[in-house]
Amino acid sequence: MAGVASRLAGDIGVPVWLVRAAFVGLAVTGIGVILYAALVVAAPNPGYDAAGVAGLFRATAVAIVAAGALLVVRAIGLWPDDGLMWSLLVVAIGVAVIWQRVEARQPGRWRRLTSRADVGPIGDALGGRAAAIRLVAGGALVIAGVAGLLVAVDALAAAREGAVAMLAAAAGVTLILGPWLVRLGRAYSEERSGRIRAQEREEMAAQIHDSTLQTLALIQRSAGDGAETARLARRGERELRGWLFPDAAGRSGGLREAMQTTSVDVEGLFDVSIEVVSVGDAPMSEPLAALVAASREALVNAAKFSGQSGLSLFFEVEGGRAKAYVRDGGGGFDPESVSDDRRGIRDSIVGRLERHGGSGKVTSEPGGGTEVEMEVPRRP
Amino acid sequence: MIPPCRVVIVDDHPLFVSGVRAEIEHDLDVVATANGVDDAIKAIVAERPDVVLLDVHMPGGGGRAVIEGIAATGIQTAFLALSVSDEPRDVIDVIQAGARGYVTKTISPADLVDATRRVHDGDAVFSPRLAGFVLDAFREGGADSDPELGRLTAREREVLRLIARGHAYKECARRLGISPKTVEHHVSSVLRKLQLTSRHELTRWATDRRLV
Repeated sequence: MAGVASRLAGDIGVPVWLVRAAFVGLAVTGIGVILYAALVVAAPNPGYDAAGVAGLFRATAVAIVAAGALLVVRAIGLWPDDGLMWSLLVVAIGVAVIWQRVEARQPGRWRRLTSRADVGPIGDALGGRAAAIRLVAGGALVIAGVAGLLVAVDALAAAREGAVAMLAAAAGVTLILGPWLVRLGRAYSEERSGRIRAQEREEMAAQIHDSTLQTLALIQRSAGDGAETARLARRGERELRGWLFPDAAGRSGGLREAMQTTSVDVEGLFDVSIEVVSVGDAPMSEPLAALVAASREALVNAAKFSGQSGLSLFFEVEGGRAKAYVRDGGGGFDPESVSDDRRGIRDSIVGRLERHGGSGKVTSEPGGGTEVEMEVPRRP
Repeated sequence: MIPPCRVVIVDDHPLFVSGVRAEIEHDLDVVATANGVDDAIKAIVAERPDVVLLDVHMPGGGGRAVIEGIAATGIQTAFLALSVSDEPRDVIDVIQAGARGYVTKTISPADLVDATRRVHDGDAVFSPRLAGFVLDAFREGGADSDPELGRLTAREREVLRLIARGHAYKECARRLGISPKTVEHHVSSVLRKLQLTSRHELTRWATDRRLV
Protein backbone atom coordinates (compact mmCIF):
# COMPACT_ATOMS: atom_id res chain seq x y z
CA MET A 1 0.00 0.00 0.00
CA ALA A 2 1.50 3.32 -1.15
CA GLY A 3 4.94 1.70 -0.96
CA VAL A 4 5.40 2.79 2.62
CA ALA A 5 5.97 -0.67 4.03
CA SER A 6 8.51 -1.64 1.39
CA ARG A 7 10.40 1.64 1.71
CA LEU A 8 10.52 1.29 5.47
CA ALA A 9 11.75 -2.26 5.05
CA GLY A 10 14.45 -1.07 2.67
CA ASP A 11 15.46 1.71 5.02
CA ILE A 12 15.86 -0.35 8.13
CA GLY A 13 16.85 -3.60 6.47
CA VAL A 14 14.13 -6.01 7.64
CA PRO A 15 11.91 -8.20 5.49
CA VAL A 16 8.85 -6.50 4.06
CA TRP A 17 6.48 -9.01 5.58
CA LEU A 18 7.67 -8.11 9.08
CA VAL A 19 6.90 -4.46 8.51
CA ARG A 20 3.48 -5.32 7.07
CA ALA A 21 2.76 -7.53 10.09
CA ALA A 22 3.76 -4.71 12.40
CA PHE A 23 1.36 -2.34 10.65
CA VAL A 24 -1.40 -4.86 10.86
CA GLY A 25 -0.68 -5.24 14.57
CA LEU A 26 -0.80 -1.50 14.98
CA ALA A 27 -3.96 -1.30 12.91
CA VAL A 28 -5.66 -3.57 15.43
CA THR A 29 -5.14 -0.96 18.10
CA GLY A 30 -6.26 1.81 15.79
CA ILE A 31 -3.14 3.95 16.11
CA GLY A 32 -1.51 2.13 13.23
CA VAL A 33 -3.88 3.62 10.70
CA ILE A 34 -3.07 7.14 11.75
CA LEU A 35 0.66 6.46 11.82
CA TYR A 36 0.50 4.86 8.40
CA ALA A 37 -1.18 7.93 7.01
CA ALA A 38 1.35 10.15 8.71
CA LEU A 39 4.23 8.21 7.22
CA VAL A 40 2.74 8.40 3.73
CA VAL A 41 2.84 12.16 4.07
CA ALA A 42 6.18 12.39 5.83
CA ALA A 43 8.13 9.81 3.87
CA PRO A 44 10.74 11.51 1.73
CA ASN A 45 11.11 10.53 -1.91
CA PRO A 46 13.37 7.62 -2.70
CA GLY A 47 16.80 8.99 -3.44
CA TYR A 48 16.69 11.68 -0.79
CA ASP A 49 20.10 12.37 0.60
CA ALA A 50 19.65 14.82 3.43
CA ALA A 51 21.30 12.83 6.19
CA GLY A 52 19.40 14.51 9.02
CA VAL A 53 15.97 13.86 7.47
CA ALA A 54 16.95 10.31 6.61
CA GLY A 55 18.13 9.64 10.15
CA LEU A 56 14.98 11.08 11.68
CA PHE A 57 12.77 9.18 9.29
CA ARG A 58 14.63 5.96 9.96
CA ALA A 59 14.42 6.42 13.71
CA THR A 60 10.67 7.03 13.47
CA ALA A 61 10.25 3.96 11.32
CA VAL A 62 12.20 1.78 13.72
CA ALA A 63 10.19 3.09 16.66
CA ILE A 64 6.88 2.39 14.90
CA VAL A 65 7.91 -1.09 13.84
CA ALA A 66 9.13 -1.90 17.35
CA ALA A 67 5.98 -0.51 18.94
CA GLY A 68 3.83 -2.42 16.43
CA ALA A 69 5.66 -5.65 17.15
CA LEU A 70 5.29 -5.15 20.87
CA LEU A 71 1.58 -4.45 20.55
CA VAL A 72 1.14 -7.56 18.41
CA VAL A 73 2.84 -9.64 21.08
CA ARG A 74 0.67 -7.99 23.72
CA ALA A 75 -2.53 -8.62 21.75
CA ILE A 76 -1.67 -12.29 21.26
CA GLY A 77 -1.31 -12.65 25.04
CA LEU A 78 2.40 -13.53 25.29
CA TRP A 79 2.86 -10.57 27.58
CA PRO A 80 4.74 -10.95 30.81
CA ASP A 81 3.79 -7.81 32.69
CA ASP A 82 3.22 -4.14 31.89
CA GLY A 83 5.56 -2.93 34.64
CA LEU A 84 8.38 -5.13 33.42
CA MET A 85 8.07 -3.93 29.84
CA TRP A 86 7.94 -0.25 30.84
CA SER A 87 11.11 -0.77 32.87
CA LEU A 88 12.86 -2.37 29.93
CA LEU A 89 11.74 0.48 27.71
CA VAL A 90 13.20 3.05 30.13
CA VAL A 91 16.50 1.12 30.28
CA ALA A 92 16.58 0.95 26.49
CA ILE A 93 16.05 4.70 26.13
CA GLY A 94 18.75 5.40 28.71
CA VAL A 95 21.26 3.19 26.95
CA ALA A 96 20.37 4.80 23.64
CA VAL A 97 20.98 8.26 25.05
CA ILE A 98 24.41 7.32 26.41
CA TRP A 99 25.49 5.41 23.33
CA GLN A 100 24.44 8.16 21.04
CA ARG A 101 26.90 10.41 22.85
CA VAL A 102 29.76 7.94 22.59
CA GLU A 103 29.11 7.26 18.96
CA ALA A 104 28.95 10.92 18.08
CA ARG A 105 32.15 11.86 19.91
CA GLN A 106 34.46 8.90 19.63
CA PRO A 107 35.49 8.69 15.98
CA GLY A 108 36.36 12.34 15.32
CA ARG A 109 37.14 13.32 18.84
CA TRP A 110 40.65 14.66 18.41
CA ARG A 111 39.79 16.35 15.18
CA ARG A 112 36.90 18.04 16.89
CA LEU A 113 39.10 19.12 19.78
CA THR A 114 41.62 20.77 17.52
CA SER A 115 39.17 22.28 15.08
CA ARG A 116 37.20 23.78 17.93
CA ALA A 117 39.91 26.38 18.55
CA ASP A 118 37.94 28.97 16.64
CA VAL A 119 34.74 28.30 18.56
CA GLY A 120 36.45 29.47 21.73
CA PRO A 121 35.92 28.56 25.35
CA ILE A 122 32.22 29.35 25.33
CA GLY A 123 31.43 26.88 22.58
CA ASP A 124 33.66 24.42 24.38
CA ALA A 125 31.82 24.75 27.64
CA LEU A 126 28.45 24.38 25.95
CA GLY A 127 29.49 21.23 24.13
CA GLY A 128 30.94 19.79 27.31
CA ARG A 129 27.89 20.64 29.34
CA ALA A 130 25.45 19.18 26.79
CA ALA A 131 27.45 15.95 26.74
CA ALA A 132 27.50 15.80 30.53
CA ILE A 133 23.75 16.39 30.76
CA ARG A 134 23.17 13.61 28.27
CA LEU A 135 25.38 11.28 30.24
CA VAL A 136 23.66 12.07 33.52
CA ALA A 137 20.17 11.85 32.03
CA GLY A 138 20.95 8.55 30.30
CA GLY A 139 22.50 7.11 33.45
CA ALA A 140 19.51 8.17 35.51
CA LEU A 141 17.15 6.53 33.03
CA VAL A 142 19.13 3.29 33.10
CA ILE A 143 19.23 3.20 36.88
CA ALA A 144 15.53 4.03 37.18
CA GLY A 145 14.70 1.38 34.59
CA VAL A 146 16.78 -1.28 36.32
CA ALA A 147 15.22 -0.38 39.67
CA GLY A 148 11.74 -0.60 38.17
CA LEU A 149 12.66 -3.93 36.60
CA LEU A 150 13.84 -5.34 39.88
CA VAL A 151 10.74 -4.13 41.68
CA ALA A 152 8.47 -5.52 38.97
CA VAL A 153 10.13 -8.92 38.99
CA ASP A 154 10.34 -9.56 42.71
CA ALA A 155 7.90 -7.02 44.06
CA LEU A 156 8.86 -5.49 47.35
CA ALA A 157 10.26 -8.61 48.98
CA ALA A 158 13.49 -8.50 47.10
CA ALA A 159 13.54 -4.74 46.74
CA ARG A 160 16.26 -4.28 49.29
CA GLU A 161 18.41 -6.97 47.75
CA GLY A 162 17.79 -5.36 44.40
CA ALA A 163 18.93 -2.02 45.72
CA VAL A 164 22.09 -3.58 47.14
CA ALA A 165 22.79 -5.36 43.88
CA MET A 166 22.23 -2.13 42.01
CA LEU A 167 24.60 -0.18 44.22
CA ALA A 168 27.18 -2.91 43.76
CA ALA A 169 26.75 -2.74 40.02
CA ALA A 170 27.01 1.03 40.04
CA ALA A 171 30.18 0.85 42.12
CA GLY A 172 31.59 -1.69 39.69
CA VAL A 173 30.84 0.50 36.71
CA THR A 174 32.43 3.51 38.42
CA LEU A 175 35.55 1.50 39.21
CA ILE A 176 35.86 0.31 35.65
CA LEU A 177 35.09 3.56 33.86
CA GLY A 178 36.35 6.04 36.49
CA PRO A 179 40.06 6.05 35.64
CA TRP A 180 39.30 6.17 31.97
CA LEU A 181 37.03 9.18 32.41
CA VAL A 182 39.61 10.97 34.57
CA ARG A 183 42.31 10.28 32.01
CA LEU A 184 40.11 11.53 29.24
CA GLY A 185 39.36 14.73 31.12
CA ARG A 186 43.01 15.33 31.89
CA ALA A 187 44.11 14.70 28.32
CA TYR A 188 41.49 17.13 27.15
CA SER A 189 42.54 19.94 29.49
CA GLU A 190 46.21 19.37 28.69
CA GLU A 191 45.54 19.62 25.02
CA ARG A 192 43.53 22.78 25.62
CA SER A 193 46.20 24.61 27.60
CA GLY A 194 48.83 23.48 25.11
CA ARG A 195 46.82 25.05 22.37
CA ILE A 196 46.53 28.33 24.27
CA ARG A 197 50.31 28.37 24.84
CA ALA A 198 50.92 27.74 21.17
CA GLN A 199 48.66 30.65 20.25
CA GLU A 200 50.47 32.99 22.62
CA ARG A 201 53.82 31.92 21.25
CA GLU A 202 52.65 32.55 17.72
CA GLU A 203 51.44 36.02 18.62
CA MET A 204 54.73 36.83 20.33
CA ALA A 205 56.72 35.48 17.39
CA ALA A 206 54.69 37.60 15.00
CA GLN A 207 55.26 40.72 17.10
CA ILE A 208 59.00 40.13 17.42
CA HIS A 209 59.23 39.46 13.71
CA ASP A 210 57.34 42.62 12.81
CA SER A 211 59.31 44.97 15.00
CA THR A 212 62.51 43.62 16.49
CA LEU A 213 63.74 41.31 13.74
CA GLN A 214 63.01 43.91 11.08
CA THR A 215 64.86 46.53 13.09
CA LEU A 216 67.84 44.25 13.61
CA ALA A 217 67.97 43.52 9.89
CA LEU A 218 67.96 47.25 9.11
CA ILE A 219 70.68 47.85 11.70
CA GLN A 220 72.90 45.24 10.06
CA ARG A 221 72.50 46.97 6.71
CA SER A 222 73.39 50.37 8.11
CA ALA A 223 76.06 49.16 10.54
CA GLY A 224 78.56 51.76 9.31
CA ASP A 225 76.19 54.66 9.96
CA GLY A 226 76.19 55.32 13.70
CA ALA A 227 73.40 57.87 13.69
CA GLU A 228 71.13 55.71 11.58
CA THR A 229 71.82 52.68 13.78
CA ALA A 230 70.96 54.63 16.91
CA ARG A 231 67.76 55.89 15.33
CA LEU A 232 66.68 52.38 14.32
CA ALA A 233 67.52 50.97 17.73
CA ARG A 234 65.45 53.68 19.37
CA ARG A 235 62.49 53.02 17.15
CA GLY A 236 62.71 49.28 17.81
CA GLU A 237 62.86 49.92 21.52
CA ARG A 238 59.80 52.17 21.39
CA GLU A 239 57.78 49.63 19.46
CA LEU A 240 58.72 46.74 21.69
CA ARG A 241 58.12 48.77 24.82
CA GLY A 242 54.73 49.89 23.57
CA TRP A 243 53.82 46.27 23.08
CA LEU A 244 55.18 45.05 26.41
CA PHE A 245 53.83 47.95 28.48
CA PRO A 246 50.69 49.11 26.70
CA ASP A 247 49.74 51.30 29.66
CA ALA A 248 52.94 53.36 29.49
CA ALA A 249 52.53 53.78 25.75
CA GLY A 250 49.13 55.19 26.55
CA ARG A 251 46.56 53.60 24.25
CA SER A 252 44.02 56.01 25.60
CA GLY A 253 42.97 57.64 22.38
CA GLY A 254 43.56 60.91 24.20
CA LEU A 255 46.19 63.62 24.45
CA ARG A 256 48.85 61.29 25.87
CA GLU A 257 48.64 58.88 22.99
CA ALA A 258 48.68 61.68 20.42
CA MET A 259 51.78 63.21 22.04
CA GLN A 260 53.53 59.83 22.19
CA THR A 261 52.81 59.20 18.52
CA THR A 262 54.04 62.64 17.56
CA SER A 263 57.31 62.29 19.44
CA VAL A 264 57.96 58.87 17.91
CA ASP A 265 57.36 60.43 14.49
CA VAL A 266 59.84 63.20 15.12
CA GLU A 267 62.39 60.73 16.50
CA GLY A 268 62.01 58.78 13.29
CA LEU A 269 62.60 61.86 11.13
CA PHE A 270 65.61 63.25 12.98
CA ASP A 271 68.47 61.83 14.96
CA VAL A 272 67.06 62.73 18.37
CA SER A 273 65.59 60.99 21.38
CA ILE A 274 62.67 62.65 23.11
CA GLU A 275 61.89 62.16 26.77
CA VAL A 276 58.11 62.40 27.04
CA VAL A 277 56.69 63.12 30.48
CA SER A 278 52.97 63.43 30.99
CA VAL A 279 50.78 64.54 33.86
CA GLY A 280 47.14 63.72 33.35
CA ASP A 281 45.36 62.97 30.12
CA ALA A 282 42.24 64.20 28.34
CA PRO A 283 40.09 63.21 25.39
CA MET A 284 41.15 64.95 22.20
CA SER A 285 39.51 68.20 21.15
CA GLU A 286 40.28 70.88 18.56
CA PRO A 287 42.46 73.00 20.86
CA LEU A 288 44.32 69.90 22.06
CA ALA A 289 44.92 68.84 18.47
CA ALA A 290 46.40 72.32 17.89
CA LEU A 291 48.59 71.84 20.96
CA VAL A 292 49.87 68.54 19.59
CA ALA A 293 50.57 70.10 16.19
CA ALA A 294 52.38 73.03 17.80
CA SER A 295 54.42 70.66 19.96
CA ARG A 296 55.41 68.80 16.86
CA GLU A 297 56.57 72.05 15.23
CA ALA A 298 58.57 72.89 18.31
CA LEU A 299 60.16 69.43 18.45
CA VAL A 300 61.08 69.53 14.77
CA ASN A 301 62.50 73.01 15.24
CA ALA A 302 64.60 71.90 18.21
CA ALA A 303 65.75 68.75 16.41
CA LYS A 304 66.90 70.82 13.43
CA PHE A 305 68.56 73.76 15.10
CA SER A 306 69.60 72.95 18.66
CA GLY A 307 72.33 70.48 17.77
CA GLN A 308 71.18 68.37 20.71
CA SER A 309 70.22 64.72 20.51
CA GLY A 310 68.17 64.71 23.72
CA LEU A 311 64.94 66.74 23.83
CA SER A 312 62.25 66.96 26.48
CA LEU A 313 58.52 67.08 25.96
CA PHE A 314 56.41 67.69 29.04
CA PHE A 315 52.68 68.20 29.02
CA GLU A 316 50.12 68.57 31.72
CA VAL A 317 46.33 68.69 31.93
CA GLU A 318 45.15 70.55 34.97
CA GLY A 319 41.78 72.14 35.47
CA GLY A 320 40.41 73.46 32.19
CA ARG A 321 43.78 74.00 30.52
CA ALA A 322 46.51 71.93 28.94
CA LYS A 323 50.15 73.01 28.83
CA ALA A 324 53.08 71.63 26.89
CA TYR A 325 56.79 72.41 27.09
CA VAL A 326 59.43 71.48 24.56
CA ARG A 327 62.95 71.97 25.75
CA ASP A 328 66.45 71.41 24.42
CA GLY A 329 69.69 71.77 26.32
CA GLY A 330 71.41 73.42 23.37
CA GLY A 331 73.38 76.61 23.11
CA GLY A 332 70.28 78.75 22.97
CA PHE A 333 70.03 81.98 21.03
CA ASP A 334 69.06 85.56 21.39
CA PRO A 335 65.39 85.75 20.44
CA GLU A 336 65.93 89.22 18.96
CA SER A 337 68.55 88.06 16.50
CA VAL A 338 66.88 85.05 14.94
CA SER A 339 66.61 84.72 11.20
CA ASP A 340 63.30 85.35 9.47
CA ASP A 341 63.12 81.68 8.66
CA ARG A 342 63.07 80.64 12.30
CA ARG A 343 60.83 83.48 13.30
CA GLY A 344 58.35 82.17 10.75
CA ILE A 345 58.31 78.76 12.40
CA ARG A 346 57.89 80.37 15.78
CA ASP A 347 54.99 82.45 14.54
CA SER A 348 53.32 79.37 13.14
CA ILE A 349 53.48 77.78 16.59
CA VAL A 350 52.23 80.86 18.43
CA GLY A 351 49.66 81.75 15.77
CA ARG A 352 48.20 78.28 15.73
CA LEU A 353 47.71 78.30 19.51
CA GLU A 354 46.21 81.78 19.56
CA ARG A 355 43.59 80.79 17.02
CA HIS A 356 42.35 78.26 19.59
CA GLY A 357 42.34 80.63 22.54
CA GLY A 358 45.80 79.64 23.73
CA SER A 359 49.23 81.17 23.86
CA GLY A 360 52.83 80.33 23.13
CA LYS A 361 56.18 81.70 24.24
CA VAL A 362 59.78 80.93 23.39
CA THR A 363 62.41 81.46 26.05
CA SER A 364 66.01 81.14 25.12
CA GLU A 365 69.25 82.54 26.35
CA PRO A 366 72.75 81.86 25.16
CA GLY A 367 74.09 78.87 27.09
CA GLY A 368 70.78 78.11 28.80
CA GLY A 369 68.99 76.13 26.15
CA THR A 370 65.68 76.91 24.53
CA GLU A 371 62.20 76.19 25.76
CA VAL A 372 58.87 76.59 24.02
CA GLU A 373 55.95 77.04 26.40
CA MET A 374 52.48 76.36 25.02
CA GLU A 375 49.04 76.52 26.54
CA VAL A 376 45.48 75.99 25.30
CA PRO A 377 42.04 75.56 26.88
CA ARG A 378 40.91 71.94 26.91
CA ARG A 379 37.71 72.71 25.02
CA PRO A 380 36.96 75.36 22.38
CA MET B 1 89.53 65.90 45.62
CA ILE B 2 86.15 64.18 45.77
CA PRO B 3 86.10 61.34 48.30
CA PRO B 4 85.87 57.91 46.65
CA CYS B 5 82.36 56.56 46.31
CA ARG B 6 82.08 52.77 46.63
CA VAL B 7 79.42 51.30 44.35
CA VAL B 8 77.73 47.91 43.84
CA ILE B 9 75.91 47.35 40.53
CA VAL B 10 72.91 44.99 40.60
CA ASP B 11 71.20 43.87 37.40
CA ASP B 12 70.12 40.48 36.12
CA HIS B 13 71.59 41.21 32.67
CA PRO B 14 75.39 40.62 32.81
CA LEU B 15 75.86 42.56 29.58
CA PHE B 16 74.25 45.62 31.08
CA VAL B 17 76.27 45.31 34.31
CA SER B 18 79.56 45.23 32.42
CA GLY B 19 78.42 48.16 30.26
CA VAL B 20 77.61 50.34 33.27
CA ARG B 21 80.82 49.27 35.00
CA ALA B 22 82.90 50.32 32.00
CA GLU B 23 81.13 53.70 31.88
CA ILE B 24 81.54 54.69 35.50
CA GLU B 25 84.65 52.97 36.86
CA HIS B 26 86.90 55.90 35.94
CA ASP B 27 85.00 58.09 38.36
CA LEU B 28 83.56 55.68 40.90
CA ASP B 29 84.92 52.70 42.81
CA VAL B 30 82.90 49.68 41.64
CA VAL B 31 83.53 47.14 44.40
CA ALA B 32 81.12 44.39 43.31
CA THR B 33 78.43 43.43 40.85
CA ALA B 34 75.54 41.02 41.28
CA ASN B 35 73.04 39.38 38.95
CA GLY B 36 70.23 38.47 41.30
CA VAL B 37 68.44 39.33 44.53
CA ASP B 38 70.32 36.86 46.76
CA ASP B 39 73.71 37.65 45.17
CA ALA B 40 73.04 41.34 45.66
CA ILE B 41 72.23 41.02 49.35
CA LYS B 42 75.38 38.93 49.92
CA ALA B 43 77.56 41.41 48.02
CA ILE B 44 76.13 44.42 49.87
CA VAL B 45 76.55 42.73 53.26
CA ALA B 46 80.16 41.82 52.38
CA GLU B 47 81.21 45.15 50.80
CA ARG B 48 79.13 47.76 52.64
CA PRO B 49 79.06 50.08 49.58
CA ASP B 50 78.07 53.75 49.69
CA VAL B 51 75.62 53.45 46.81
CA VAL B 52 73.84 50.52 45.16
CA LEU B 53 72.81 50.97 41.53
CA LEU B 54 69.74 48.78 41.49
CA ASP B 55 67.73 47.30 38.65
CA VAL B 56 63.98 47.54 39.23
CA HIS B 57 63.08 44.36 37.34
CA MET B 58 64.70 41.13 38.49
CA PRO B 59 63.49 37.60 39.06
CA GLY B 60 62.79 36.86 42.71
CA GLY B 61 61.15 40.10 43.81
CA GLY B 62 63.11 42.76 41.91
CA GLY B 63 64.80 45.80 43.41
CA ARG B 64 62.23 46.04 46.16
CA ALA B 65 63.29 42.63 47.55
CA VAL B 66 66.94 43.76 47.71
CA ILE B 67 66.09 46.99 49.55
CA GLU B 68 63.88 45.16 52.03
CA GLY B 69 66.48 42.40 52.51
CA ILE B 70 69.16 44.98 53.33
CA ALA B 71 66.83 46.96 55.58
CA ALA B 72 66.37 43.77 57.63
CA THR B 73 70.15 43.52 58.20
CA GLY B 74 70.34 47.09 59.46
CA ILE B 75 73.10 48.03 56.99
CA GLN B 76 72.98 51.69 55.89
CA THR B 77 73.45 52.28 52.18
CA ALA B 78 71.81 54.40 49.50
CA PHE B 79 69.90 52.90 46.58
CA LEU B 80 69.56 54.49 43.15
CA ALA B 81 67.00 52.73 40.96
CA LEU B 82 68.09 52.21 37.38
CA SER B 83 65.41 50.94 35.07
CA VAL B 84 64.41 50.36 31.51
CA SER B 85 60.80 49.97 32.60
CA ASP B 86 58.34 52.78 32.18
CA GLU B 87 55.67 51.19 34.33
CA PRO B 88 54.75 53.80 36.95
CA ARG B 89 53.80 51.03 39.36
CA ASP B 90 57.30 49.49 39.33
CA VAL B 91 59.03 52.82 39.72
CA ILE B 92 56.83 53.97 42.58
CA ASP B 93 57.21 50.56 44.20
CA VAL B 94 60.99 50.73 44.43
CA ILE B 95 60.94 54.36 45.58
CA GLN B 96 58.50 53.45 48.32
CA ALA B 97 60.75 50.62 49.42
CA GLY B 98 63.43 53.24 50.11
CA ALA B 99 65.38 54.07 46.95
CA ARG B 100 66.76 57.65 46.94
CA GLY B 101 66.15 58.21 43.28
CA TYR B 102 65.24 56.84 39.88
CA VAL B 103 66.98 57.24 36.54
CA THR B 104 66.38 55.48 33.22
CA LYS B 105 69.00 53.23 31.65
CA THR B 106 69.39 55.61 28.72
CA ILE B 107 71.04 58.17 31.02
CA SER B 108 74.43 59.44 29.87
CA PRO B 109 77.51 58.16 31.76
CA ALA B 110 78.33 61.64 33.08
CA ASP B 111 74.79 62.11 34.39
CA LEU B 112 74.86 58.67 35.99
CA VAL B 113 78.10 59.46 37.83
CA ASP B 114 76.63 62.76 38.96
CA ALA B 115 73.38 61.12 40.13
CA THR B 116 75.32 58.45 42.05
CA ARG B 117 77.40 61.11 43.86
CA ARG B 118 74.30 63.07 44.75
CA VAL B 119 72.59 60.02 46.19
CA HIS B 120 75.79 59.38 48.16
CA ASP B 121 75.57 62.92 49.55
CA GLY B 122 72.06 62.18 50.77
CA ASP B 123 70.22 64.02 48.00
CA ALA B 124 67.20 62.70 46.19
CA VAL B 125 67.58 62.21 42.44
CA PHE B 126 64.43 62.77 40.43
CA SER B 127 64.55 62.16 36.69
CA PRO B 128 62.00 64.08 34.61
CA ARG B 129 59.97 60.90 34.31
CA LEU B 130 59.80 60.31 38.06
CA ALA B 131 58.84 63.95 38.60
CA GLY B 132 56.02 63.45 36.10
CA PHE B 133 54.82 60.30 37.85
CA VAL B 134 54.76 62.08 41.20
CA LEU B 135 52.91 65.11 39.84
CA ASP B 136 50.41 62.77 38.25
CA ALA B 137 49.94 60.78 41.46
CA PHE B 138 49.43 63.88 43.60
CA ARG B 139 47.30 65.70 41.07
CA GLU B 140 44.39 67.75 42.34
CA GLY B 141 41.43 65.40 42.66
CA GLY B 142 43.71 62.45 41.96
CA ALA B 143 44.86 59.77 44.36
CA ASP B 144 45.52 62.40 47.05
CA SER B 145 41.87 63.16 47.71
CA ASP B 146 42.54 61.76 51.19
CA PRO B 147 43.53 64.79 53.31
CA GLU B 148 45.65 62.52 55.52
CA LEU B 149 48.13 62.15 52.70
CA GLY B 150 50.90 64.70 52.65
CA ARG B 151 49.79 67.07 49.93
CA LEU B 152 52.47 68.73 47.88
CA THR B 153 53.01 72.43 48.53
CA ALA B 154 52.74 74.89 45.64
CA ARG B 155 56.51 75.35 45.68
CA GLU B 156 57.13 71.61 45.59
CA ARG B 157 54.86 71.35 42.57
CA GLU B 158 56.72 74.16 40.83
CA VAL B 159 60.04 72.42 41.42
CA LEU B 160 58.73 69.07 40.19
CA ARG B 161 57.20 70.70 37.13
CA LEU B 162 60.53 72.27 36.18
CA ILE B 163 62.32 68.96 36.67
CA ALA B 164 59.69 67.22 34.54
CA ARG B 165 60.28 69.83 31.83
CA GLY B 166 63.90 68.76 31.72
CA HIS B 167 65.60 71.42 33.84
CA ALA B 168 68.54 70.57 36.08
CA TYR B 169 68.36 71.51 39.78
CA LYS B 170 70.59 74.52 39.15
CA GLU B 171 68.25 75.86 36.44
CA CYS B 172 65.24 75.25 38.66
CA ALA B 173 66.91 77.30 41.38
CA ARG B 174 67.69 80.15 39.01
CA ARG B 175 64.17 80.21 37.57
CA LEU B 176 62.51 80.21 40.97
CA GLY B 177 65.01 82.59 42.48
CA ILE B 178 66.04 80.20 45.23
CA SER B 179 69.29 78.41 46.02
CA PRO B 180 70.07 74.95 44.62
CA LYS B 181 70.16 73.73 48.22
CA THR B 182 66.54 74.81 48.67
CA VAL B 183 65.56 72.99 45.47
CA GLU B 184 67.26 69.93 46.89
CA HIS B 185 65.35 70.37 50.13
CA HIS B 186 62.02 70.44 48.28
CA VAL B 187 62.83 67.32 46.28
CA SER B 188 63.84 65.41 49.44
CA SER B 189 60.62 66.49 51.09
CA VAL B 190 58.62 65.15 48.12
CA LEU B 191 60.53 61.87 48.34
CA ARG B 192 59.66 61.60 52.04
CA LYS B 193 55.98 62.26 51.33
CA LEU B 194 56.05 59.64 48.62
CA GLN B 195 57.51 57.08 50.99
CA LEU B 196 54.95 57.89 53.69
CA THR B 197 51.96 57.63 51.36
CA SER B 198 50.18 54.33 51.64
CA ARG B 199 51.18 51.83 49.02
CA HIS B 200 47.54 51.08 48.38
CA GLU B 201 46.77 54.65 47.34
CA LEU B 202 49.65 54.83 44.88
CA THR B 203 48.92 51.44 43.43
CA ARG B 204 45.39 52.58 42.77
CA TRP B 205 46.72 55.63 41.00
CA ALA B 206 49.18 53.61 38.96
CA THR B 207 46.53 51.21 37.76
CA ASP B 208 43.99 53.79 36.74
CA ARG B 209 45.77 56.69 35.10
CA ARG B 210 42.47 57.65 33.62
CA LEU B 211 41.19 60.37 31.34
CA VAL B 212 39.87 63.42 33.14
